[in-house]
Amino acid sequence: MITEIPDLNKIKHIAADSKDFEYELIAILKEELPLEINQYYLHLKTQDFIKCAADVHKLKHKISILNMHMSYEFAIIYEDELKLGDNKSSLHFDKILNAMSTFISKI
Amino acid sequence: MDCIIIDDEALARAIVSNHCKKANLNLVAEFDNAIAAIKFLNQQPVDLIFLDIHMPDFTGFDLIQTLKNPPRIVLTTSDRNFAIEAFEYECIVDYLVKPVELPRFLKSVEKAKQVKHPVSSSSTKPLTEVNEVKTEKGTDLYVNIDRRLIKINFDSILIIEAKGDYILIKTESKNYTVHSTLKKIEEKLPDSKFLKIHRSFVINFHKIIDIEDNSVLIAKDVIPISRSNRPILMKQLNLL
Repeated sequence: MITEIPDLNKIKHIAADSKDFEYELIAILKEELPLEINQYYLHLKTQDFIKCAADVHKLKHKISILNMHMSYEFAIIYEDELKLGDNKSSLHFDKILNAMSTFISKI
Repeated sequence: MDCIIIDDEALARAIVSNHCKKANLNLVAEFDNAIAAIKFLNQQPVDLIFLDIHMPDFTGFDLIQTLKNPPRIVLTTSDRNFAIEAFEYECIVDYLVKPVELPRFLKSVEKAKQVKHPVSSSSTKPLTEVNEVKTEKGTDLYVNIDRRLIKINFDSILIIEAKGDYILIKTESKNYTVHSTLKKIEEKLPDSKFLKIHRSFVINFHKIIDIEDNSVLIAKDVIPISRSNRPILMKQLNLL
């Protein structure tokens, strides 16, 4: 499965013509995303899949704002799998999270 | 219009807050959890709430059910296809998918302005995610999963387990994870079949295979019995 490359197009679109707002959103994203990812891995480690599902649900917003359409669809399926106690798709989700982390660390 | 934002995500709050300014709404406060918002709302009523549904511990729906006279509410969610539950509450005028875009936000505000203020809590009776339907052939339970109402026959249910904000309904053929609580589903189940034997478990006691000191075996699951519930369970059994 190909891992999508995140971009800032959606953030720019939401910020419209305001560069200040765009920077504000990026700053929040840089602060909030690592915390949400850590929380997800913490719950994954303890195999608390219901909490993992809630974490993935929350991360969907970040996936969406980084314009990763396919990854968003994948996250929907993965969230449902986790609710049923199944984490078989976690490896691909790792790749999505890595792509997002790498991207935000460079902006 | 005075409004507040309730969302545990700072990014989501920042976006809605920015849109509020553009919509000339008077944003009086922002909250990252529902409990703090309830305390505020008890002191200061508002006209409109932008409310995240999925928050840890206390969800958006929990908040709505807590408010005696909820104002107009616009839900925010990360679910693109979210809809079913939202419009079962009269106070909910719209829902917005995150990240919220300005044109859609403005439409939502217009919608909210056109809706009369909901006046009584009785008219905002929540939709439960679990609805009971009595049919001629018996009693079934309909559960809301992925925007579909799925019928589960009472007799097929083995165990219902609390899992945080969800319940896991184990039946003879399939398991279902539903956004609900044990308390809610307990109210929908017939007493003649179901019993809560532990704070996290409701069982169909007709499905018990055997009982040991402090546990019951149902199918392949060993379920703990709390000390206080054991006498109630024993009363239900046809003991020799």
